[in-house]
Amino acid sequence: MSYRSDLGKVKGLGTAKHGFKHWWMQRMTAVLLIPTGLFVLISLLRMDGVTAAQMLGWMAQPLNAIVLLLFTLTASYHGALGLQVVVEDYVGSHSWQLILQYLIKLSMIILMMVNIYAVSTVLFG
Amino acid sequence: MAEFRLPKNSKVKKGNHHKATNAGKTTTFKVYRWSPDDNENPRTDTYEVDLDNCGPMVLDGLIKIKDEMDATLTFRRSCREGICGSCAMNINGTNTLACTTSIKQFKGKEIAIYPLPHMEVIKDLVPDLSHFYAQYASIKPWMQTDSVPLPDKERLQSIEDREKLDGLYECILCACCQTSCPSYWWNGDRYLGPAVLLQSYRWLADSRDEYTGERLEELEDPFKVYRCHTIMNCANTCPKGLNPGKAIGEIKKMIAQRHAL
Repeated sequence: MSYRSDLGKVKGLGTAKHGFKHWWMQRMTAVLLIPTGLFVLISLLRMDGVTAAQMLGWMAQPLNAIVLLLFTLTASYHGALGLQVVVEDYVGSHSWQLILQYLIKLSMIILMMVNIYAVSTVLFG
Repeated sequence: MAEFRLPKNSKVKKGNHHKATNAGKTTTFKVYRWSPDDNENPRTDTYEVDLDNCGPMVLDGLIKIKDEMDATLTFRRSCREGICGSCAMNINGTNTLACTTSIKQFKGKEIAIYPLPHMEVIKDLVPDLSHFYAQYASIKPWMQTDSVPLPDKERLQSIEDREKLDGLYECILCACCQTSCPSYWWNGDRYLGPAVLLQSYRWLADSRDEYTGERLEELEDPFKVYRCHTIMNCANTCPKGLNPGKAIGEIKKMIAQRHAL
C-alpha cells in the first residue's frame, strides 16, 4: 500500500540526462556495419576452396586486416548495445538487470580482445 | 519480467448470451465484462443488437445494450463525435473510438469489444488512466515563458510557426496510441509513451514557448523517450490520424541538435 501521488510515482528518481549517446552509437555502428559487412561477406564468398595458407595470406593484407577488425569490433559493440536494450525492455528485476548488463559488457570486451588478438597474430606473426 | 500470459484470476471466461427480441437484422457484440465487486474472473458477454432500431456507430450499439438489454454494462462516453476521447476501447483488435467506428464496416460479423489493452481495469470497458494523466502532467503541458509580455499585447505567432502545430494540437488524449504500444505495455511505469511524447513535442514545437532546453533536458533519459523502438502501432491506431512516432522522431532530432549533431 502506498499513498504516494500519481505524479510523484511518475517523476520517480528523475531523468537520467543521458540515453542519446547510446541511441546515436547504435545507429552509427549500424551504418558502418553495412559496407564492412558487405566487404567481408563478398570476400568470403569469393574464397571458395582456398587453402588455410591462402586465407591467412588474405588476412595479412593491411586493408583486409583493417576492414576485418573494423567489422568485428563494430559488430561486437553494436551487438552489446542491442542486447542492452533487450534487457532493459524485458527484464524487470533490478538485480537481474545488473547481472545481465555486466555479462553483456564483459562478453563484448572478451569478443573484442579475441578479434584483436586473432587479426594481430596473423598480421605480426 | 514482461508479462506474456494472463494471471489465473484474469483469464477471460465465456459469459452470458443476450438475445434480441422481435428483431429484424441483428449483429452480435461480444463485450468484455469484469466487476471489482464479485470476485469473479472476467468474462465476455454476447449481445444480439437489433440494427433496425440502432444508430450507425459502435457507441450507439453499446448505449442501446445499456438502455434496453443490460443496464450493468459500464463504459465511458460523452461527446459522441470523436472530440472528447472518452469512448476509447479495443474494437475487433484495434484501439479506437467507439463513436467514430461504424457498425457497418464489420459487415455483420461479430464485434469484439475489450477495454484499452494492458491497463488496470476499473470495471468492464473502463480502464484506469490515472498513471497516463500523471505522465501528461509531468511534461508540463502549458506554455512556459520568462519574458513578460505587455499587459495589452498578445504573444504573436507567425502563420508558418502556427502551422508547425498542425498534426499535434488535434490530439484528444484518448490513450489509443499509448495503450497500443508494446514498449508502453512492458515499461509504462517509466516510458512516457506515444501520446504524452506527442504532447511534449507539441510544446517543443511551439514558437512562443521559452523552455525548450529545459523540456529536452528533462526528456533525455533511456526510459522516458528511448524506449520508442519505432514499432509505429501508435500511428496505425490513432483515431484522429496523427503520427506520434514522427513526433518522437522529431524529439530525438532535437536532442541530437543539442549535442551538436
